[in-house]
Amino acid sequence: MTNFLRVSTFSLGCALLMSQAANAQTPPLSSEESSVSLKRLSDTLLEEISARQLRKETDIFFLGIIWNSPAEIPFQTKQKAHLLQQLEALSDNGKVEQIQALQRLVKALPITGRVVLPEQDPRWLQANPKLDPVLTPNDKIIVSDTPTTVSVLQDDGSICTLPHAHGVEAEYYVKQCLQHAGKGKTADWAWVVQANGEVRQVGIALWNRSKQDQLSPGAWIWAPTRQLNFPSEVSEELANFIATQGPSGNLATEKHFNASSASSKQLPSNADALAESRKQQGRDLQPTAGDWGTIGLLQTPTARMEEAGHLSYTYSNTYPYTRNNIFLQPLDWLEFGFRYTNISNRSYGPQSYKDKSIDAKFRILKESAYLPELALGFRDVAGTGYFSGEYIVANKRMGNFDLSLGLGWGYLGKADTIKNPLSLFSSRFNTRSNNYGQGGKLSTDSYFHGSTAFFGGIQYQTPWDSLLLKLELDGNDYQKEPSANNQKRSSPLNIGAVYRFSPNIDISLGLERGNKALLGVSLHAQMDKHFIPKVSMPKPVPVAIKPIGSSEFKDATSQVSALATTNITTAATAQPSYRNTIDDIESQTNWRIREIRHQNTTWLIIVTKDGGYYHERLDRMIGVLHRDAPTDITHFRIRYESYGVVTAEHAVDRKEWMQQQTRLMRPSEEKKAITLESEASSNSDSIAQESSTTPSSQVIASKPTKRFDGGLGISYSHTLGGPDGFLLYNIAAEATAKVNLWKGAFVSGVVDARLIDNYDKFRTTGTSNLPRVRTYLREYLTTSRYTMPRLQATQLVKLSDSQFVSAYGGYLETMFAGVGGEYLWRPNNSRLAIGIDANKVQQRAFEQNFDLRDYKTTTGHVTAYWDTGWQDILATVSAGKYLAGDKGVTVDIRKTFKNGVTMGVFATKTNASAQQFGEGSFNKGIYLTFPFDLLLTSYSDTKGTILWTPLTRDGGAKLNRSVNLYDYTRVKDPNALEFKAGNN
Amino acid sequence: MLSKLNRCLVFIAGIALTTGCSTVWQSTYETSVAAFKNPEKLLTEAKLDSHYRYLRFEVNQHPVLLILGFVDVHPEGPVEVWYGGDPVMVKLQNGRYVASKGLQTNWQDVHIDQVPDFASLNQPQRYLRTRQQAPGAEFGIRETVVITPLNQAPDIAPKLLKEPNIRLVASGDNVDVAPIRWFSEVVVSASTATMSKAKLPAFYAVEMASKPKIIFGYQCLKADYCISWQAWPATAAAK
Repeated sequence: MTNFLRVSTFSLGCALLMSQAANAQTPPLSSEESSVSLKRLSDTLLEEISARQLRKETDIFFLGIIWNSPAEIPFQTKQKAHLLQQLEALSDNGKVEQIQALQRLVKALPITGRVVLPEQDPRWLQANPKLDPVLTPNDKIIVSDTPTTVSVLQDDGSICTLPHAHGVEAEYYVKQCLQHAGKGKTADWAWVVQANGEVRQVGIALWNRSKQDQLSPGAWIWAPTRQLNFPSEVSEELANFIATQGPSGNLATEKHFNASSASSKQLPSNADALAESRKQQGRDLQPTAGDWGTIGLLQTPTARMEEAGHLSYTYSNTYPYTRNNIFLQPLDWLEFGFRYTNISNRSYGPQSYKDKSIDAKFRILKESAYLPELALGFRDVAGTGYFSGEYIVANKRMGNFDLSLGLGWGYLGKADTIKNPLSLFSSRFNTRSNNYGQGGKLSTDSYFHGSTAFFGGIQYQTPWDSLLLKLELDGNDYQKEPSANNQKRSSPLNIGAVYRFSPNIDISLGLERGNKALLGVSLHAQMDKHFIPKVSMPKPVPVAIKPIGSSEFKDATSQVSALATTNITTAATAQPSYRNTIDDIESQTNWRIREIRHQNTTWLIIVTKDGGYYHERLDRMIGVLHRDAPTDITHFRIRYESYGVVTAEHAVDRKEWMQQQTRLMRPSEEKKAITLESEASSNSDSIAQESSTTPSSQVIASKPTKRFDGGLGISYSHTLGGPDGFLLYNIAAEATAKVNLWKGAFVSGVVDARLIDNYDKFRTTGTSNLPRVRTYLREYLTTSRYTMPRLQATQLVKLSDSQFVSAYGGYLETMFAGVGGEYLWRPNNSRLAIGIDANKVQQRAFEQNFDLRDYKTTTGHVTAYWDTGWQDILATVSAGKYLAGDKGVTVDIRKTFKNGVTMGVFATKTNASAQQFGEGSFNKGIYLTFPFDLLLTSYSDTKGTILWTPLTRDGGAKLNRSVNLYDYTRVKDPNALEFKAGNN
Repeated sequence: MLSKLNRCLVFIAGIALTTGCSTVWQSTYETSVAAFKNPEKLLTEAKLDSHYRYLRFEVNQHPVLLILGFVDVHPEGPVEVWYGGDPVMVKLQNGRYVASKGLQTNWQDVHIDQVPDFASLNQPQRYLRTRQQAPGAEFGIRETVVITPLNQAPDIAPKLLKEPNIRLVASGDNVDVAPIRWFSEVVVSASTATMSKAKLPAFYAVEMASKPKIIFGYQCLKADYCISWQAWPATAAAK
């Protein structure tokens, strides 16, 4: 519930609908199948309600309303044929009789053309026309009374029916039917088909039951027994096919099943089982972070994972260790993160000792009925090795208990309770190398070596959803701690409790080693689901139904009508009106529009500033265009320009878009209304030429492009974990400016004035065996309070629809000035792009003014960008020469979620040796990028990035170029239209 | 949503510090305004169209205005269908909440066996209520509810209704009307033990005219999710 001002714009629609409802006098539908004339479903249902009221009948089962559309029959025919093929393929799995029975059932059931209706309340449909289908004369609507039963389809194709009961889940119905069958069989999964045709897979066994919806009256359940060994994908198909038949217990549906000769039995309610089942509602397994930030118990990890998109910060303190952990879950099966461990009884300069470490955990097996969830993990991998360890851990859930058992090596196995099982293969596994050198190495001669111990425990979900209890066996005895910092251990068992204070905050308390208290706090969020409603934006323009493609349509209230029926001269005189169109688009989208052109039946819109969630903003833009454009305009083309250079173009089929916005589409009708075009470049020229020669092509509205753009703001930067202090920070006033020169050319710059910082503590300059291209960080940050981080001129050129070039020169970043260029090959709708950049640069003075230091170098890379098409992962590999003259390769892997949040890792390995590189051995980092659209109530095209690198070193350092052609052409990403707010 | 904004604001401010981009600052400012704007002030300052009827509707004490869209005929009394942005739809029958869409928790098809007559209700009385609830696809919920007349306004009553001898007058109402009485409702048993525990309290301010009329309603849809409604604009008038 938000801004009431939005309500007032809604009122007109309501008033119109009210009069329509008052005049509803058309003949009502009966409960039998009836043909309907071309009208909205909502109108049909209102007529049915009136008719029933006249007959003194008040019961209408809205959820079970059936919409059968002949248009869906061809698709459903294929669906049925495929299902029968799948069943045929299963007939040799040893369960011939059951499979044949199912085949007979499917064969006998008709192809109905039923379409799932997401909403059925006619008054709600009237307010949400996108959900309200328009019925054709051949469509059939079937309305019935509320059924009183739920039906279970069994292995042998028979139907078991029970009275519907409130407060129970699928497990109750399945169990009753299986018990009645008396075969001692069990089922793990059920596919629930609700009365409206929605299908969901739910767990019904102790190991997989989760929080789930109850069943509507008239629901179907398909729950193959464990013994039938029925594949999930075929179950899904079967459930989808049953959904087309209509709710169970409905006369029309019963008719179909009776014709199939499927045997059926009716069971009575079982009061005792009902009472028991109502007490045992499904609950979600709640994975929580342990002391080390990874999902686990206390000191020990488990095989459990969070959902992809999860981000957590966990603080834990158990003397003498305080851990600050940040963990990301980019994929369902991968968790990684980093931590700073503070060792309070060891010093590092003026502060206590800090250790940096990186962890990764991979799920290698998902839990099933008989097998546990299994994960392989690495702690403090590629670091100093203070806490390094490896583990393999298994988890099995039994209702409210989640049991884990693991085998740990290194820090996780220091109790040394068993002989290293890998020593069976080689005695080398008995000893673990503790020589980590400069850190950062992947110490393959240490992994899974040395002392080994079992660990594990139990997580218990108490009756209160917000309280979890944990008990674990620790695999470490704390007698071989790093820096001889051994700790007394009174018990190998640790015990703790987690209180889930809110959906995003957990508080942990416990007792570890039998003598030390634990305090933990975890802040966590599903970043991929985060969104903020755009309450500061104007309400989207309502979409009217218009006869698109017709020039005869006249709308007296629209400024468009005159233009639609007259020649272009009239359009020219109407030009001032379309300036409002541009203004409205800009206020609806926060994008910038240069002009609108008219060419035959197309309007071309030139966008000079874009970004953010494209689809959402395009819908808003098209809403304005649809309101204002004459009805003979059948297409819109949205062209994106940056400094006058076209980057990409979207084509909009106006009629298709209008239909999608104003009615529920049948699945067979669905097609894209907005597509990425590949002809942007050539069209740009042709339209430009036509505008001067062809009377049918001309600018109908324009707005001057701003030559100067700039602003004042605040910038923040920090350095973590250095010897002079854990956090060194700087808050500065920042002025940015950009001046457009000519097509594709601009000058941009930034100046900073440090306002607040603690750089008086920043005294240490890192050592280096390489040219000092990054380790003069202290000097660059502290020498001058007033700096000019960047001032450069850039020229962008588009060579063809898939080729872009940039050339730039000036003070390119805080530490280097020079000249350079980039070439990018990026075809539309291609998963692959190649970029090449070359730069001649010289080191800047520490003051970041116009002066330069002596160091010069040439740097550049060839970069391949590969959209893997798998789990929205982009892999980038670049090879070339880095700032310190070292040569090597950088690999960057990032996962981008649908709401634009990106989680990524990168690593650079060059020919600089580990000794030359120094601590850390090679350059690496973890980053999180998020669009500001996630956080703000109005649109923003900016992204924020949080980057963590363990150390600033000179090896593997790239030039920080401010214009990257791959980012600059982001709208060419085939997925660009799919990014949207996390709630959708 | 507003409370969510408030929670996010500190984070937003922190993030905004990392950039000098002017558009982000503008958006950050607008977000701050949205987070801290006073909804009460917005309601009282709203320009209302006299052609429409408005309802002040609160969800967990966050008020918005709804507009009357339809009045549907029903054998048990007319059903008012109210709409708001987001979107949300609320149905009231005889002044009681009977259905909604678009809220975090929605009841549907609320049916009461033998609706208590406020005029003759001088001691606690039981009635049976059936309903559906979403999300969760909870069908066939049956609850026994006890309704009790109150001697004074409950804590949740609007400030004006707590004043003795004062009642709310909706725009266009006849001021010369009967006094109001308060009633409370609570669930005493339900289909499941969890639902019985929730109690789901409700309160009604009833204008005791010849035909009693609910002028203010409050209903908890879940233990921690409560709504209230009253005609708007409303002013205080001496009894």
